[in-house]
Amino acid sequence: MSPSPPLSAELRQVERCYQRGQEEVAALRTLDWKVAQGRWHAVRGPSGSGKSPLLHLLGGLDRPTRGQVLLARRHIPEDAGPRDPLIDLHAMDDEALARLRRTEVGFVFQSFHLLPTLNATENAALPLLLDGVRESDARQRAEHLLETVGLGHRRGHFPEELSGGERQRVATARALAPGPSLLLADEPTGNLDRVQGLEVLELFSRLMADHDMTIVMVTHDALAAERAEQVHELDDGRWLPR
Amino acid sequence: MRWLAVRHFARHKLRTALALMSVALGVSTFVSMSALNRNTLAAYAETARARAGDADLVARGTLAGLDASLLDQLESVDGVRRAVPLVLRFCTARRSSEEPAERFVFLGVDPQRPPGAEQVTLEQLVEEIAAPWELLSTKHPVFVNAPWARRHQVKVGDSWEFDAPAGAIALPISGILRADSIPVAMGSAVAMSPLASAQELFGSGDRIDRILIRLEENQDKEALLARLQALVGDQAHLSDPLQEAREFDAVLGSVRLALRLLSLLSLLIAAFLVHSTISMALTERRRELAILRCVGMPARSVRTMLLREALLLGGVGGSLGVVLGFAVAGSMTDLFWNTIGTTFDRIDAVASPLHPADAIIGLLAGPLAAAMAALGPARRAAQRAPLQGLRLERTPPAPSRAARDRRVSVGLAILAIALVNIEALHFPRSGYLVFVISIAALVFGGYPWMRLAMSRTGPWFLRVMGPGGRLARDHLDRAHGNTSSTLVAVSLGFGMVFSTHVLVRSFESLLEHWFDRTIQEDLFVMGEGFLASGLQGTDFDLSLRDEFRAVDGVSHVHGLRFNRIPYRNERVLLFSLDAAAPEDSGQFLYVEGGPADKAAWAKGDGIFVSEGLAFLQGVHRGDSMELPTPGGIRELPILAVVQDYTWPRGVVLIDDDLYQDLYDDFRAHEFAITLNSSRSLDSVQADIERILGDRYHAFVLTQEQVQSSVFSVFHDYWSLLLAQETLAVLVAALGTFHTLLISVLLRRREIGLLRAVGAPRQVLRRMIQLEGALIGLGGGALGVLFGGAISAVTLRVLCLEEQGYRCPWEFSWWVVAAVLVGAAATGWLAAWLPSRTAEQTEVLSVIGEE
Ligand SMILES: Nc1ncnc2c1ncn2[C@@H]1O[C@H](COP(=O)(O)OP(=O)(O)O)[C@@H](O)[C@H]1O
Ligand SMILES: [Mg+2]
Repeated sequence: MSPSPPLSAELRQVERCYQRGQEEVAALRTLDWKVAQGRWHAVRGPSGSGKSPLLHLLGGLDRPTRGQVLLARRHIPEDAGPRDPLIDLHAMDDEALARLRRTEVGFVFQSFHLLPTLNATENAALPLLLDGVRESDARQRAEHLLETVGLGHRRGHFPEELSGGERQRVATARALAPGPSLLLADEPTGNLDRVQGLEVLELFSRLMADHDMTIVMVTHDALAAERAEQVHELDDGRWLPR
Repeated sequence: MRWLAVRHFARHKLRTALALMSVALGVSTFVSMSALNRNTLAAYAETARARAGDADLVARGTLAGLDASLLDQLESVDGVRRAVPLVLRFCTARRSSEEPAERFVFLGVDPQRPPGAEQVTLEQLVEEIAAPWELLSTKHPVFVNAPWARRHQVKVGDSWEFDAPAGAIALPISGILRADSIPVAMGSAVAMSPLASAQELFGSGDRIDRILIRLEENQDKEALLARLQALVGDQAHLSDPLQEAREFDAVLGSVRLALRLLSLLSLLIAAFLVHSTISMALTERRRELAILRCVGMPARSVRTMLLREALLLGGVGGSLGVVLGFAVAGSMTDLFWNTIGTTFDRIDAVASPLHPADAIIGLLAGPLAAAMAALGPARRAAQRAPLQGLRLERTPPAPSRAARDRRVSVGLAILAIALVNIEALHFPRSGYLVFVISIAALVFGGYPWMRLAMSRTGPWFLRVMGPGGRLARDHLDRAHGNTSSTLVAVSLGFGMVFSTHVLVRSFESLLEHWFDRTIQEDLFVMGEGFLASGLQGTDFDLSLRDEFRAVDGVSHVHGLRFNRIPYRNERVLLFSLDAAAPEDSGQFLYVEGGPADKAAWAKGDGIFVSEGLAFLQGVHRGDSMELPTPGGIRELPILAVVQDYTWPRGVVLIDDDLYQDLYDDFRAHEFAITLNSSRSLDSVQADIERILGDRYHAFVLTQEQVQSSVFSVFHDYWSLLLAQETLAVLVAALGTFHTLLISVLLRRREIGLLRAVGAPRQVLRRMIQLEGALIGLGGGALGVLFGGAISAVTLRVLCLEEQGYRCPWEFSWWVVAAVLVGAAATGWLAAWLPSRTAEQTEVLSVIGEE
């Protein structure tokens, strides 16, 4: 057996239940997942199968009802032992999770979620600014990232002046701003037409090639899933055996 | 569809409560001010009626009184049923030397010719009376009115010390008058004694102060008035009792005007608040309305549904406001009348400040403002294509419209400034015009100007205040409509604060300058509380002056006499003083004429008049005035016009020798003493106090003490406005709070997103609080501009038009800074709760909803 590859994240016996009235609904049921580093993972499944909750857990937007979510950190904190590069999200409070979101992971949403009052550069620089990076440095990095996503000529434009594909690329630049090792994307092409969707997938491919990056992409678009290196099927909160 | 509104209100309890409170507070400020204002004339009428009994006509003289022979003359005329003599004096009295003085109206009535109904028995008049043998042995029996006696626990047989010209005198209370037997007046403290006793106590010989005339049934009052006036000639001034009320009211003209402007402002603040409340609430429900449209609700039903909701909110809020407003008016009534009493005339508050008209205006104002506010948004909501409403981005107002609004506002502002400076305009009315124009300038230009001031500041905000600051600024820049009316409400509130400051400051520096030049005597002797009783109080015999003159170290003493006389439908102040007082006791500030005219004045060749009197009566140096005296009308030339602010309707300054000649009045209200430098102030003061001894309850005050007590009366007068302002600022803060809270709810997605990309709570909190502070700051800055303009108009109306003198417009930069800081802090505080709400926004609930 070959030594296991380095992990970007790991789910251990994760359950996520929601209270709906009196009932308890399980969105994820005792899920295990070792997310191999440096790969492009696609998670597929029908609507309501629990894809989004899974991604929210990985991104520190949510906590599991039971089980552990572990994340590799770029910056090893002083209090973590050197032998354990994974950090348990459960141990973190709200503010620490917020810090994590603006430093360690990048999130791309289906409906972009850009701030309408900020231009492309400022939107892309937002996580850095929130983290207290000097404004000129943040701006410089954001402009560089906009070049990377092919929007160098659009940096002064506001979201309402951009097409859907362009907006999603700005959102990607924002996700990349802190230099995360893990990029999470929830149906990134769901709100785009075919051509624009392809542009975004093209961008992801380039990122995979140029940066040492792990991508977890949720999609129910078969075409999009094909671009990924590993496809995982989720149904009713459980992995489907391959 | 009616249940939709109810359910909406029930689900958003906090916001509904806030909206109701905004409407209620706004309406209540208006109602309370209006109620107070409305009651001033009623109170004056009441007081005048109290002084006149229920007479048909009243004959008045000066402080020197009327000849008693007039009574028979008047009664001999056909159509006159009775002429009733009355002595009416102001004095102070106390239970014992140690206790503070009470202010009294002291009435002398003739038992043979009692005022009021003809056929009354003693039992009908009094509640309680001393035993007959005690009454017989009492030289000056005094009756007091029951409400007052009850309040002070005064019983028959108690002895009180009354301050009379010849000194304090202890008088037994011989009876308690029934509450309804004598009209209540002067804070209810009325003392009554037989005519002869009053005449003796107050040293008025056989003179009386006024005659109440009752006519036979069905007489032509006007014609009879003219006939009687012709009969008595210059000896008395006959008028309808209400005329006196009108004269009182004229004195109060400036206060009433200020209050009227304030209540108008309050109504506006309320209207803007209701407007922003309703339109915010509608913006927030855009999606809900779009869904209703999507599922087939007709546009008309949307419109009626929203209007109905607005009317409901406005109606309920307005009713609460009316109740609250009357409560506030009730609790302010005493303060109001006390303040008026200290500055002008001692007047009784009218018992009930309730007037149906106020209630009706208040009840209408709430729904009306709400409906007006809902009209635009409701129409837009109804017209919007259903799908458009489902999209969440909101577009900022078109720049061309903002530019046009800015131009309009500048145009209006220039117009307002021009109007204030056109001398030829007659003001009270065009003052309202300026007021309206200034508000229009604010409404049109306030928000566009603020946006212009903020343009291109985005990077600056980002650099200096971080992303939270930048987003706060961005949001203000984009949120048209709702924020705009909140901004107007805030600027009106702080505009009120600032304009009051300018008024107080301007008056104060004018008074200070005048006081410092004109009133320079070293010591002043006066009765207790004299300066705070509208210069009506205890009389002193002028003989005291000679005793003071004999004191070592005294270089000059003069007795001052303040006598309000009727003059062409006004009550002007006849101020008698010694024209020959030395230079170091103060100098006049001449408007027409100069120090050279003083010699002629001192010789009694004529009078000086105040700048205000010259303006109000249209007279100048060289003209003459016809003064009523006991010996008839005397025409006296005006030798000079000087600055004097003792009385708002104008002052006639007359040399004391001439005054005594003309009026045969040898009493003084106050003595002003100038020292030579041979002895210390303290030791002379001690000597003077020794002369007063137990004989007089009088105070010896230094120049500084008099000045500070004059200014404290002045400040009391203005403190009336303080309550009003506090309420206005509170209402403005509530408006800001409400705007921000709804704005936070509207921006849940944006806030949730910020959280999702890792914004710390503190950034969110800071963002909302900065937004509040910016609204406050913007409102404060606009308020300073607006308040500056309003104070210029008000100053012009209050001084030049109402009182006839020029008062330079003055303000302090410190107060500008304080208003700005205060406004920003108010906004910051108002944002506190909304910022908590923002901070607690759940990321997933927002990100998840598509
Ligand atoms: N915040 C939430 N509250 C309650 N239930 C939720 C929440 N988020 C997800 N769920 C439930 O979890 C299940 C899966 O979530 P969903 O987002 O629909 O998955 P997918 O992204 O695969 O479509 C659904 O049944 C959904 O109702
Ligand atoms: Mg999903």
